[in-house]
Amino acid sequence: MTKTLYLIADLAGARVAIESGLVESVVHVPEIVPAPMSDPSIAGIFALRSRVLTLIDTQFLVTGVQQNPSKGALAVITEIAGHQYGLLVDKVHDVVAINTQETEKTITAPSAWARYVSQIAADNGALVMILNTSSLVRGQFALAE
Amino acid sequence: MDDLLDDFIAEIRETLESLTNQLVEWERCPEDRALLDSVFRFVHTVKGSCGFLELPRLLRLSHAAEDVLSAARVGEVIISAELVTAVLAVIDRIAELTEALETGVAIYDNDGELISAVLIHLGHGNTKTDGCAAEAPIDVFIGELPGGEQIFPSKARSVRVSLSLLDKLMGGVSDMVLARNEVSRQLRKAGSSGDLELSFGRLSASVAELRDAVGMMRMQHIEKLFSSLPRLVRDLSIDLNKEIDLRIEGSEVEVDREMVEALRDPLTHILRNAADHGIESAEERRESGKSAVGHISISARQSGNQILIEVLDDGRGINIDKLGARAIAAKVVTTAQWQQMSPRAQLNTIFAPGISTADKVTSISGRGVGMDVVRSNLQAISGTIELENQEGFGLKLTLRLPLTLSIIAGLSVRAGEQIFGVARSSVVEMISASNTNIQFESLGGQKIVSIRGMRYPFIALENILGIEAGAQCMGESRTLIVMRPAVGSTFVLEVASVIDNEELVVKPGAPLVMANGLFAGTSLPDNGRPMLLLDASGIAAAMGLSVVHEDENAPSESKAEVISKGASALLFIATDGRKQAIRLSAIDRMEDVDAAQIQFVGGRMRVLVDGKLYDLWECEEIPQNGFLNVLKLSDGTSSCYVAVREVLDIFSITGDIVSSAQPEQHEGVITVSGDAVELRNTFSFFETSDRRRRNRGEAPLCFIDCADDAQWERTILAPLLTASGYSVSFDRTDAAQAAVLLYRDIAKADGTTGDPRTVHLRDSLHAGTNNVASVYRYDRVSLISAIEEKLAVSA
Repeated sequence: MTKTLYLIADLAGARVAIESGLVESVVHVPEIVPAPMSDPSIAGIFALRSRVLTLIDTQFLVTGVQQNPSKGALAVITEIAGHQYGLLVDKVHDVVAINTQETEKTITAPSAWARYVSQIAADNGALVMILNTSSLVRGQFALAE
Repeated sequence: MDDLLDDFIAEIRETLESLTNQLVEWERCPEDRALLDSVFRFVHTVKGSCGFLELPRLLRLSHAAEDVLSAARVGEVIISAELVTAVLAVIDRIAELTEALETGVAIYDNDGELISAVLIHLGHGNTKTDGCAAEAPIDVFIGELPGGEQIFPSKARSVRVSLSLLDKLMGGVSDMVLARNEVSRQLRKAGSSGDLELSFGRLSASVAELRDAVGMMRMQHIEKLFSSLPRLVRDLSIDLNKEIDLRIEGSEVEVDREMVEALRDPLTHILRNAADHGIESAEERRESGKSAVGHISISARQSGNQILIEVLDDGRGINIDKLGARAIAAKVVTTAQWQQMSPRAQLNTIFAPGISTADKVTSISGRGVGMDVVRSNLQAISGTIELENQEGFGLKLTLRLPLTLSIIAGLSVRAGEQIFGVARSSVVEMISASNTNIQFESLGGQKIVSIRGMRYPFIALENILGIEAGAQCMGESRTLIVMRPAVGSTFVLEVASVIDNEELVVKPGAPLVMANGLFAGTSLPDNGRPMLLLDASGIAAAMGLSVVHEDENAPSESKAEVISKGASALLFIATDGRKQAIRLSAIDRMEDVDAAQIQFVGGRMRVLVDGKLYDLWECEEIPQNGFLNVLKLSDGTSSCYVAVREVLDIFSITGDIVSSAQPEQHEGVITVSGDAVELRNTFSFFETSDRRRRNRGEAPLCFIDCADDAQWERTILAPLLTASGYSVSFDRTDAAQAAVLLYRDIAKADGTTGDPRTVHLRDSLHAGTNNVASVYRYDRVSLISAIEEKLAVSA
């Protein structure tokens, strides 16, 4: 029985889990500079200390509605394919250990989510979707296809 | 040279470390082609490097190993266990010798045995190497072999640090700088005490120092790479008995340290190829009508988000038919494939492993190892290589390298409400959109702008980025930037304003942001607000501009220059508030001078620049403080300054020049976009300033006859003459070569009347009874004209 630590967060109104090993930190985003003509899932770029990160509008990916985040929005910092990204989240809850062996095989994620969710697990009885973070970077996904 | 040697040692050591496993593997399965190739490449590289570092022992060893391995690669020699052992022994010796280069320990020279052990597999080993061991020169110079345990003085050694660690360090330091800026803001807000300020100042200074040091760790002038090339070419030209002239440009371009390391081998290979195969022998060159001296030029420049290195030779180029024959013989392509290939694809087979167009293998190149190694090395740093072959006339190789983490000189520009960065290297010119020399036209919906008669495709940055134009500040006009991208033709970009000139650290952007091709990366200026860097080539592509090669573009530009053939002139507002023009050719430069540099001395305004006084025209009064706009005019030999209120523009004089009623001040009247403007006559500035100066080259010498303590001559006459442009001597020995002799003492006159150079001075206003012609000594005008008269006669 293996348990992995996951960060539980609210994203587009749903509870999701992100593997804690992938999470560098959770920050309030400073000023966001828009990146014109880029993919609509890009909310802009922002500086975290001396690094420049790309902010992913996760809500747009799921719902197709852009979020227009402002300064102070909450983001999970993670590295995907050598680049650093901030994933916009509504709220972060806690880091919990989830037994990934005991996943809910019979329940599948809603179709809007299916692309971004690797599996569904239960945390203290409540269902959470475990995010496949690399799929959030659509360009990366498109390149792989 | 020491630098090169250190680099060489470090490189060999590093390659050996990574090769160790492969060597063991190779021993197990000697037939493995990939392993054979990498061992071969290693000895080839050693041979190449030590050739120009003059390390004969290493050269012989590596050459022998290379010979055998090369034969093994083409299947002439069966790879046996003995052969592997012999080659490994040679590689071990190479390692020993390399270490010895650094420590200075002597290694017993039985290289000959090792070499013959290797060459025996070629079947002619012994004959070649017998003599070598006996008269072998040594690489390592050390007086005596010490008893064993001697501690050698350590040299300034370098440490190889992984780039990720360097990146981390650099990131940390950048964080520190931003934190410092933040603290400094807080301190200002809180109103700090003197002591705190002092400590903070010290901290701040050491942070700045650290940042510089870390920056230097990462960046290097490409000169470090280029500096070894002249020597390499010199040695090559001696070996090959060809005269080769090497020209290097752009040594100041800054690149990543990693880049310098990664480029060293490819560039060496390229130069070797160019010198050996490209440049023909002197006779051959003469026969084909070229100068006997071969030319190779290397230039580096930064172009947008790329570093371009061009290597151009004027040799014979690549013979495509021969290349095809070789490629087919080496089974790289079949005859049928070759015939179907495009010329470009045919040319590119030169990059296939094992291909060479050289007729014979020399110790310099021609084993077909060069180009595939070159390309794979470049690919490792995500660079590309392009060939431009002109058979019979030369070959141009263009290496394109990415600019990741380089520091570029950039401009920050505003579009809408957002700030973007542009590499200054792609900017040709900036011009205000309200400038009268600009006309906008439209061609089937496409916007065109013409600047001083040159037409360019035109786009506003907001349009291409799809952002709102934003409010334009009152009185601020938009700016046009003429951009020349690395790929694509010149175009004009309109931005809301140009904000600043700054050094930008280019950081790669996430693929999703870069996917649109408009951006070259991101950057974080000191204010902590991230910025997207624009890619000029990408914008040109987005505008749908066809890719026109720069060289093809150049002649059309010069043609345009000819069409608007009028001379250029500068439009300015003079200090009296009138709009005037002056020919550009007369202007040396425009500058601001500090009010403190201006003074009214010697009867006129003068300005002190770099320790020299110049006349300053049209400046009625010294500005109380601040700066004065001035034009520095030059007639080739002398210079003067003209004060102006404001510099407006440069335009070309078209139409007639209407003659002026005051020709000494105005050359004429011209029309500039509907206004009549006086074209200033620069002649007047110099003519007046030259009036008191003699135009005969050197100041003519006047000899004044007087006693040593004669007060009038020394304190009044001599300064007057000097100010009028003559040189003065009181020394009687100069009298013989003087142009004019001045005598005040009429009584003495009798003896010297015979000399036609003499001018006599008298003390009284009226000429006395004395019949010697004389001039009253206080009549300046008559005195000068008398001197001039004498000069005219003697001339």
